[in-house]
Amino acid sequence: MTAPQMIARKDGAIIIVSSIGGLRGSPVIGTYCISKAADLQLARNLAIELGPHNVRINCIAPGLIRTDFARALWEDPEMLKRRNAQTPLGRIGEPDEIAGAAIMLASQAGSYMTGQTIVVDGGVTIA
Amino acid sequence: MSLFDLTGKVAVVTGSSRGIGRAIVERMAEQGAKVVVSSRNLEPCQEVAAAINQKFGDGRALALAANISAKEHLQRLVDETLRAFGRIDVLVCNAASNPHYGPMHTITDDQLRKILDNNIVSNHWLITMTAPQMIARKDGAIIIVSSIGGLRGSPVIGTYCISKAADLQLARNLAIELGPHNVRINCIAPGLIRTDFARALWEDPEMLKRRNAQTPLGRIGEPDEIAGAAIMLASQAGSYMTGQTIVVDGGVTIA
Repeated sequence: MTAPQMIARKDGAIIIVSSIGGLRGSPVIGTYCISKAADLQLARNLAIELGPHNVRINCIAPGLIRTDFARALWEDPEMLKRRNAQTPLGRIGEPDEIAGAAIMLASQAGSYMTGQTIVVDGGVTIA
Repeated sequence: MSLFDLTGKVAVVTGSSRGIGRAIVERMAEQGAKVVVSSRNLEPCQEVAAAINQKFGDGRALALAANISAKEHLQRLVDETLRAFGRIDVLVCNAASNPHYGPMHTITDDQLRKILDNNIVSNHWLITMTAPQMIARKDGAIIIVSSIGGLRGSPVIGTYCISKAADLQLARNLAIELGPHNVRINCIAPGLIRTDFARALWEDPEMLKRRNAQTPLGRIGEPDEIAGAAIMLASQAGSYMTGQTIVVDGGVTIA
């Protein structure tokens, strides 16, 4: 619905907020993770389709962020402590810590990026 | 305050007299940082620093020569920066070498060691020299300019690619070591960018045409198109990112 007028203008930026869930397995939010992995692939496909029109599409894959949506994963103090211990930065993220990547991708700063995923997770997936 | 503001921060960028390094150092100055322009030869660094001081005000940029292959040069770079500016908040390891073009069996031992030394060991040295004062302040951002060469095979710049893959691993290791101190380290992996360093890969019109045909965005990148990712990683915008690689390649590695 959105791309045609971007294509007409030969300019546009699409950002899909995926998740690190799309990068590794989960025994509790499995279908969610499948959908998040699908987002990464969607971006790769569309990057090729839309690239010639200078419409860029990328994903952000946040780690555990302090939001209502993820409350079940961070509200319990014991669970949070264990999670933090596995995270190089030693804490969960705040919503505002995802915004910077979105601005970068949306603006001139991201003009040569497409098909990619920016992982913002305090280091959890590489630890 | 903008997420990308660097006012009050000090940034050191190696290999910043031209190309990607220059674009990064200029855009960091634009965001308010005090910057150190460094490369092997002092004169080109002084030109870049002078232009920054003229545009943003005196004292914003300092030129310091350093040959990354010399450990004592790197220590002097750090010491002089601390003497002049009192701190290093952002370190961009951008300078690199690539003296060989051809299959692996044709590389000389000297060329091999030079690439591994300059592109891996020097980064390790410079980070080790810079990190302690970041750790003391419990804040810092280290950015290594790697390459998409570190993500796929090459029959002509193989050792360079090995060194660039090593950069990605260095960032992952150090992210775990430095994370508890709130010092973040990430890589940028540029695709083919219009720089002197990469001239052999884009100057020939036929080669360029073939390359562009394989790139979703249909063109090579400009140095300034790498600067945005560097600013993001250096500033508050990148506060929850560590151990990662931002690929800026016009889509070439996913096509």
